[in-house]
Amino acid sequence: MNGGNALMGAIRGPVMLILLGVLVAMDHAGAIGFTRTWPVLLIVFGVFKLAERAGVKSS
Amino acid sequence: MRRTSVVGPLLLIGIGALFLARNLYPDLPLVDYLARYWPYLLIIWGGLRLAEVLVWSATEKPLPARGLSGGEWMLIVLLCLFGFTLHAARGISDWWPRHGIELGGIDMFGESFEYPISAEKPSAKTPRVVIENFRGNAKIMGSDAADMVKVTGHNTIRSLEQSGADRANQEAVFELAGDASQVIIRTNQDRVLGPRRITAEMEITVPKGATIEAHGRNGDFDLNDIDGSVEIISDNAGVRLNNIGGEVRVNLRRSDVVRAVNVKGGVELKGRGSDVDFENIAGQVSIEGAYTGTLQFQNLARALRFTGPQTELAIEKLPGQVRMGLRQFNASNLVGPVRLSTRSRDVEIGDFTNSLEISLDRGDIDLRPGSLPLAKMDVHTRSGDIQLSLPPSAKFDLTASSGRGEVTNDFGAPLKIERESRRGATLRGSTGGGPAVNVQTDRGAVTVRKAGAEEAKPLKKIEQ
Repeated sequence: MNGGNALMGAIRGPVMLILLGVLVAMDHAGAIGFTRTWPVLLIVFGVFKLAERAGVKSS
Repeated sequence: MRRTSVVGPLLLIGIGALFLARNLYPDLPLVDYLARYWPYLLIIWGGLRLAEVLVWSATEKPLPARGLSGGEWMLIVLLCLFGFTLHAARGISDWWPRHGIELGGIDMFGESFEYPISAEKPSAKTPRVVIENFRGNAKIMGSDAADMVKVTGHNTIRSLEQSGADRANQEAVFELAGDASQVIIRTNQDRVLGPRRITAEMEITVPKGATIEAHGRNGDFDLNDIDGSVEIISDNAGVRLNNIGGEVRVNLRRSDVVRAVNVKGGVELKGRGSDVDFENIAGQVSIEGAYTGTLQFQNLARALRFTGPQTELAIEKLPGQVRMGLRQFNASNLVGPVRLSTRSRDVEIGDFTNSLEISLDRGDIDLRPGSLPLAKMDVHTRSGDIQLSLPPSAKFDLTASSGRGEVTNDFGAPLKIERESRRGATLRGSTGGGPAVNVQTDRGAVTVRKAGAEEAKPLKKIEQ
């Protein structure tokens, strides 16, 4: 399952970037402030790290 | 073969397109757009890289170890700094946390709680009513019968739980301070700390003779039937004024619409916004700032002065109307002297008197002076066609020239085309003792013809 693991690593950056964009866009649209939503970035980053670990173990 | 991303070239194309748009449409508020919509660049960027990675993966090409390189992250950090700074500088929101970043209390899924507001205070017949800085909407009505200031409405508080909202509502005590000659409407929204936000929805009844001074942070003002003067200062507001007896001064950092109908005094508007609509104004109108929507003026008894970033307009009196959008300027029935200078607009003016001065960088000009005597004209565009329809009986002394383009004489007899250079021409002629009419384009066609399209139509019918 090395391929899946590599894919995980490769999409992590873009997905994080999209998420960052969405949170800031929501902030600017006045829906909900970035100062409140930024922990979501940490959470998603952590999920990616976990997924990678899982990938390493299964391979 | 080394894979390269499409993001770099696209970024270049995007930046080029932005600068091109800025040059072609100088009045377009690109900086505002950037300040508001830059996060979508991040989303597009991420989306493109994600699509690339997925395509590479599907075609079984070797994947990069990381989807975004260190250099790209650096660029993103710079873009974020730039974007947030621009956003804050443009006053669109205060992104810098005022109450500290919330670590624990995730207040994101709060609810709205409403609390009624009701207060009244006896006042003189011509009180000064001051509304202190608040967030929310205010509707102010003057009443002949009223001898007090009366406020009804409600506070809306967003909070995670009822108790927090209750506490906030107790902290933000609504009060009417001052005395009979000066009533102060105070919402005390600033007393509430923490993440809870209060907005007030107020209906205010005041004696008709009142003078209003209102400060707002974010929300609309709606004023009806006030005999005194009105002053409104806000960070972001839509303003609607109807039947105002005194002077009006409005200063907004941002607005979606400013509308004033039936004002006996002058109107002074400053700041930034979108649409502006003034009708039946007895006093002088002066507007200063950047307005990106449509500006409409109708029936102004005294002078109109507009000063924008790239546009200046002065009209002595406006019995008719003016409509000015981002790309066009239409007006009819103006009393001069009229002066218009702008970068890029198509100009169409019918019926004007005294004198007309137009200076354009780019845009077509269509002039139909209907009434006699003819106005003195001084019209210049650097790039665009000019059409001039003159009444057959008008007296004038015309010089119409094109530096590079056709000059057409549909007027006939006294006018004659002189070819001065290979590319351009000048049309000259005088019907004896009229005002000087100078129209000139550096590049474009010039057509001078007899007014009266109505007369041409029956002729056609006879031919059929």
